[in-house]
Amino acid sequence: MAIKSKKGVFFTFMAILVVAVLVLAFSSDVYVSSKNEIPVVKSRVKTADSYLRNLEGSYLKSSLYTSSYNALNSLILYMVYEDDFLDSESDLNAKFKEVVLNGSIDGKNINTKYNIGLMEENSLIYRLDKIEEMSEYVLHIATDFDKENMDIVIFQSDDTGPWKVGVSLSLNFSVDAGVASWNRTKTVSVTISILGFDDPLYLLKSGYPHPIKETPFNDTEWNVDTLKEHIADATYRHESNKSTEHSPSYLMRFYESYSPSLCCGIESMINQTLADGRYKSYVDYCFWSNACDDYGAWLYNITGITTPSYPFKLDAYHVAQYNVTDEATR
Amino acid sequence: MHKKAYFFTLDAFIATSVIVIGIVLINLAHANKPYEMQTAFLSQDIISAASSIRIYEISDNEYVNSSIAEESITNMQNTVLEQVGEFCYRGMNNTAGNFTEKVFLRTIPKEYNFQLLIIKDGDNILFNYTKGRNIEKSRVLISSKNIIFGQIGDSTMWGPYMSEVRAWQ
Repeated sequence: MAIKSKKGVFFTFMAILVVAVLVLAFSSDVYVSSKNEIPVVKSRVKTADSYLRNLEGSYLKSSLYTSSYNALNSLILYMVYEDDFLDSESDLNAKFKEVVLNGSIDGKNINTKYNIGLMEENSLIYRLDKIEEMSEYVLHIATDFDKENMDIVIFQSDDTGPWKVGVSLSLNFSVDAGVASWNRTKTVSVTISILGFDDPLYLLKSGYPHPIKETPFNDTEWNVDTLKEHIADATYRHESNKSTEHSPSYLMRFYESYSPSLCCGIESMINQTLADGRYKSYVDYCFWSNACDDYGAWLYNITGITTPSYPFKLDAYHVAQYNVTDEATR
Repeated sequence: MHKKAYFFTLDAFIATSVIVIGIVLINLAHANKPYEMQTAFLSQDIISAASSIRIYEISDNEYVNSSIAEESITNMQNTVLEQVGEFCYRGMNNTAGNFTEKVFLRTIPKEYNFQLLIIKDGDNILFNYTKGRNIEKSRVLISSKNIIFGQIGDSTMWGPYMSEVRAWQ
């Protein structure tokens, strides 16, 4: 009797065990919730990573490029408005930085003060504010740029060459996506072609716009015919030799420096419109300064170019550089 | 007494059967649910592809090719989504709609529908491609978002705008 009763209990326990196993297998909340969280976290990190790559690889570069391009044009317009050159290279960098970041000069908005509207919705701070706002709104990712400690430098060097300017931005920022966060210190660099920009030296010295155009001729192709074309087309030339009589670079023209720039010096010829009969070499920086006064005792007329209405002259150094020795007469 | 043991056995089998049948019924109900993951993959794939495929890679598409010839598309390096954003920036919303339709519609499986939404300075620009049921009657709706921006020439930058792809069954 006792043995038979135990069998019944055994079967009951078996049934309870089977039910318990099945219930546990299909209703483990902990297991299911963790399993479901994995793709969510993965997707979140993937989204944040993709956003960060896009921000660093594209957004910051495009923002810096367009802000710098407009800032350079704004600086030229500001100089025309003030009818004065900038003080020095450091003054150029300080003013350029302020225009790029805030669209202002000496704390004054350049649109309201000088009627220069190029930086409206184009300043770098505006762009950074916009992406902070959008990343929070669209992706629920907090982006925070340290706007007080950003640095911007504009330069020309062997890396940029004479026909481009480089702009370098250093900044710190953080990106927080909840499940992951990044703290970054980043340097973003862009190069901007100067072709098409007005030469500030011409604008301030003559009042005429003179956009930068590169000559198609290299240093071995100069003769009186190519020089004529160079004058007629108002193009600029960069000397690729290692002489010390180089012309100033494009950026040096902002602060009226006539010192030679070995990497990046460019020069053009004063055309007939600007010829005023002064006894000067007609290479632009020589014409408006004393930088070429020790390039030889004499200045030379060039047969085929110099006329009574266009008293074109070259110093001895440039006569040799442009390969017009045979046409040069005193 | 023998009958009692059989009773317990039978009871255990009936209980187990009830549970097994219950589980099978629950699983069948699950099988009838719409495919959430596939819809999620579709919306993510659309936005991911649109953010990475560049115009020059799809220039053999007849519509894209004619747009390039007509110069409504000028930057071959734009991604598809950047091109849609650029059209919206330039106020060419109809062109943006046609472009999206021609590029995407054939690639979307017929049991799915999708919308592309661009939010530009607070304005919603909606491109709707519904082949089956309307979005209001969708059984499952998955949305993927991205931030788009772009550059036109040297001096102009547009965006950032929000782009959102909604896919549903």
